[in-house]
Amino acid sequence: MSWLDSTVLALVRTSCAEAAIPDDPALAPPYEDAARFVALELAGMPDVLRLPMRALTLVFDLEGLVRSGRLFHRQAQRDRRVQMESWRRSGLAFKRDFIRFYGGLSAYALFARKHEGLPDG
Amino acid sequence: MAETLSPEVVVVGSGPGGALTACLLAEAGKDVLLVEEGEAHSPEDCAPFSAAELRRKYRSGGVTAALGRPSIAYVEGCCLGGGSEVNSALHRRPDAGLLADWAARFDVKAFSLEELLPHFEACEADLGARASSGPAPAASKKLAEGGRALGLTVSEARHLIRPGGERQSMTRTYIPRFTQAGGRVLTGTRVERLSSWGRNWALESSNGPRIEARTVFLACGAVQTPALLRRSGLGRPAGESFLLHPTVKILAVFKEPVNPAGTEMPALQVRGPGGLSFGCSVSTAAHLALHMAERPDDLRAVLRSWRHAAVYYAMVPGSGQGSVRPIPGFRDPLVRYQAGIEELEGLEAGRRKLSDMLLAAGAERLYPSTSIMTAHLFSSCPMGEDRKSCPSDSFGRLRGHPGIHVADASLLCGAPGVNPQGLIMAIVRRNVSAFLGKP
Repeated sequence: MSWLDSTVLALVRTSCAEAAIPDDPALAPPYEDAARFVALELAGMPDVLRLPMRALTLVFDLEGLVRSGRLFHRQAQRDRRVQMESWRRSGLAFKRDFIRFYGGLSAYALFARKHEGLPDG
Repeated sequence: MAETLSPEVVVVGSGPGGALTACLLAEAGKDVLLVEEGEAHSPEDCAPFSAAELRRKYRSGGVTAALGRPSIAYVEGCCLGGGSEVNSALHRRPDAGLLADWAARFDVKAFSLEELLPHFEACEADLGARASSGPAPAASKKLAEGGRALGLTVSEARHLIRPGGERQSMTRTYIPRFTQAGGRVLTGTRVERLSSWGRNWALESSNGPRIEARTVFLACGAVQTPALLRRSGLGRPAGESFLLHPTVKILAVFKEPVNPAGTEMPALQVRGPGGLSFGCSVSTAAHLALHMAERPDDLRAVLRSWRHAAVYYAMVPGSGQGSVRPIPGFRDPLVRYQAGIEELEGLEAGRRKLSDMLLAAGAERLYPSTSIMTAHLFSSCPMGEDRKSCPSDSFGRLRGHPGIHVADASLLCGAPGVNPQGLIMAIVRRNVSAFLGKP
């Protein structure tokens, strides 16, 4: 799995765990299917948005090194949540937009999986 | 040597403008090729407003944005039938005053509501536009209740839906008529460039045959039409007056269920001061989750009882400054839109008014979104005799390039303030009639 894919998977897993209703088995892990959906959405974005978003995803992963000595995708779930929350509450719009992008698409994919199923490709 | 197709007329784009154009021309006896970048999908391929539809029928999987402060997310259809396959299938005629204003400001000839009326009526008959046959969905009734409580005007848009719920999209109406009249359809073909080739226009694509035709109708939508023109070095002002309908949303939770399926077509709309309009948005569980992702602490509570929740919108007519420009080396154009102060104030007023309406209708909790989005894009190639601001003339002919016509939302001179499909089709029908020499 590539560095980008690992980071996307970690972002989606954390977002889905945050959104899932605990007693609902249809929303339980694993979240690989939701991550695949989000990765395809990222890959399909217009190139003027996709390239900066990919770069920002890697910057976000690297920030984990500065914050906790580990890349975001290698952190424990609790530490990941803390890092995502700091970007969600950031004064910088691009950081909030970044979390909204991954959090929104992950939650969308999670509930689409339950209610209508996710597309294969 | 690569294959070359040589129809009499080529129509690029198969949304409401392109499908109608192709159908009318083929029925008039022209040899027409309809070219579409997206693929053809059968109605059974994906449920309306589903994740599968998002992936298969929308451009870029529905993740696109006009950059600005703030940036505005937008969606475009990209499949055979274009936006008509994915939109809410609501139809409205614009106010006569709006058309008169455009005619005066842009010097558009023969552009009164009376002159467009036969074209509205013909399209409405073809598409079976009708008032809702049954009671309005509960979420829609709530909006109407709130609007009336605040003394606002409540009205019902007409549906483009058959009894039984089938959307009257282009693949169910004009495209079958087009093929019956002998027209040919080429899907999965993205036209990259237009160039002059003797007395013809040559269309080059990266993944399809070369096409040569005397007459070209561009109906790729308000983003792709100016992008194609500018990639081709044609129509420099094209793309410099791009507009949209900025829209904000609020999720409301009610005591009683209001959202049995999440996909009902809500036709009741409320008009407010300053061109504000209000309505219901798609409210599947997945769409509610997308909306609530800004508030993860409350997301679970809302989704536990999602049938009690629905998303509503407030929309203002766009008056900002937008542009569509190709970037060398990039496949997609750079789309920018800077909302003006008045527009942003209007959106804020709309958000407040919508909140008041929903509370008046009994909403227990409201969750406004901080982001702005739109599904209505237009005005990137406006028509008129004002040469400075109109790349196309009063009938959609591209100025300075005989044989090229624009036939989509790009032609609108400004923001219509209502669902634009009906107006686009009436204008396109009028322009095709003029091309064919019909009254």
